[in-house]
Amino acid sequence: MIIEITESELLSYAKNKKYSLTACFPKKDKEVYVWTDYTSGSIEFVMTGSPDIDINRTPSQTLGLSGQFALPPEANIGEIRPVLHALSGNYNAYCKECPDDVFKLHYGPVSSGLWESGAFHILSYGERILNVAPDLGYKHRAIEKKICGMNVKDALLLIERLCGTFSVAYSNAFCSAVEENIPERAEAIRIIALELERIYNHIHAIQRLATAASQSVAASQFSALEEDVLRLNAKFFRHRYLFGLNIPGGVRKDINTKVLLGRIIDIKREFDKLVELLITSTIFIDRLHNTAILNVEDIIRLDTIGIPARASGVGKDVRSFNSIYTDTPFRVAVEEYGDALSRMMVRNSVEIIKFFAENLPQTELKTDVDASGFLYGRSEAPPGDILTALEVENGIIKWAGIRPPSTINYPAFAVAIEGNIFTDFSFGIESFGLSFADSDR
Amino acid sequence: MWVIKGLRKGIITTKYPDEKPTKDEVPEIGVPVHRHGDIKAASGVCPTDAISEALDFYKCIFCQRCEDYGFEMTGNVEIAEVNRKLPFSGSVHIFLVDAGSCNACNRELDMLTNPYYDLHRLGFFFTPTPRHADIMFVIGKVTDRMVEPMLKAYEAMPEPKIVVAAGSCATSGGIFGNEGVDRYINVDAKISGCPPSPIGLLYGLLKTYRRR
Repeated sequence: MIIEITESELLSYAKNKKYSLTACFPKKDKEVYVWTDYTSGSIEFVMTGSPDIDINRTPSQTLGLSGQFALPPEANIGEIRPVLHALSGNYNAYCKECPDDVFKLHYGPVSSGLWESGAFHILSYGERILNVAPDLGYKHRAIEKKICGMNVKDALLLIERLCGTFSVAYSNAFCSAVEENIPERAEAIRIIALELERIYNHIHAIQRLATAASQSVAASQFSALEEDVLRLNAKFFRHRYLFGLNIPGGVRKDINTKVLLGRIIDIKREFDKLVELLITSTIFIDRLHNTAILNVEDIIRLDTIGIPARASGVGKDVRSFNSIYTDTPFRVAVEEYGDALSRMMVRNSVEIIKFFAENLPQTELKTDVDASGFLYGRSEAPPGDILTALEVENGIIKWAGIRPPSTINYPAFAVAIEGNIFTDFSFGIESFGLSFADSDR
Repeated sequence: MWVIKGLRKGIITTKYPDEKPTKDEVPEIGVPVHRHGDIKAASGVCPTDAISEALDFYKCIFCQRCEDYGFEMTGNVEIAEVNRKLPFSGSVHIFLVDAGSCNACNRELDMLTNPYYDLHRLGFFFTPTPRHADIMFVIGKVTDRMVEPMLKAYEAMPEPKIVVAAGSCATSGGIFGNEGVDRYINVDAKISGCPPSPIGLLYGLLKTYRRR
């Protein structure tokens, strides 16, 4: 399933706007590039020797504000697809030189504002931010290397804990790579858990935005609602963050959906009332409106996925390629404007839970797994989609490549926050909903 | 409108530590305890080698595999031990150092400030700078690049100060390694869990300053 191509063919993939650069994995001494077409869902894995990326030439030309950007005719792949540097782990390529009268700040890694360990290089002229470059890799635990040599069942324990708040999305992607046809009841339970995870992450994002705007009463109410969802997870799925739910082949235990559905509908009613109260506050709306705008050209040039893409009008969602979602109330939610307010509003999940909980098929819960060869799986985590590629032989993993959603969206954040003032930094980063544990693997 | 909303909702804060936590407050499975069967058969199935004569709570990651071998999930989340306490009992400031966690422990710490648990009524506060801190709270398995920031933050803290390691990655390496934070720095208190429940975190934190 991996095709070997030449470097000029790779450039023709890069110049074709239909394809998004999804991932770049090192494999032995070559590199595997993954191209996805988000309208049809097709995915292609191509392999070539590492191209000669001229790092000193790339930064200031490719990562400017849109409209000031023009590609030279002999551009290399690092210039046509600037997200390639993030996917290869080479974040120094995004740093710019600091002129004399500009203030340079290294924000992080141990800072309370971000709640995790990661850093940014910020260049600013007074209050106005000129350039931001992510400095990631502080939480690198080398999970892709660790799972090589493990069997599929043991590797799943590490994959769940790659990012604990996206654990269902990661274990769904991993399991769908190694399984073939699992019972329908297990699939439905997995989708219910995935949407519950999306709900509590969404409520957390709104709570962080309200805290950043000093709306403490609203933040406490949303925080209490998030605790309600986590206690719901603990009651029905035995763990607050849904660890231990999936096993290769199905799910571990059954759930009682009638009571679960009643509680979810109560939470949704409460959530709607709280959002209605929150958006009547013009002070809050003013902080989000016109903050960290990304327009459609930026989305396409930076290959952004997930929430920021949908908030700017580009409907990238891998759930639309999964046949289990046809005939359900799932729709790809899209906003037009592309600022932090759009990123807050573009999220919807409860109808999907309702559909699957009411129509739960009566089948068994697990089946056997016999995987080998080159496999891949995708799923939609709260900030964007996950790609897991594996090479399995006799049930043991020989090679693994995991592409987290935050790796692609941090450069998009760096472009979106240019031109904003310093105090709007926290609004920008909380509206994306990313995580450093996620992007560092 | 927020005032009316708040009055209607009423008081939802837990009565812990004056009363035991109810089943609604802690519905998760908690640590497993051996009830019947041969414990030697179970020791092969635990992925972190936590089972020898009993379960080592600081290595348990709640994978639930030992349930088929005679272990029962008790719902108990209060497992912590403290070697050295702070010499005062109020207005304790906590500085968080994330040394490579998966983000679940961070989220549980964030949940401690919500109205259900309300950390501030017990005298604990989070501070953004190590200069004001009394407790250094470490989570996650320490990665190479985070050793130096963690040690520098510890040096910047004034005496008296203690180090609390929370979660199975920080206390024992968990699923990611064999050693916890105590390889680099002396740990004064340990809290178990993957991630540790908010009630468990409160139990451990209260032990660091009150007589319990």
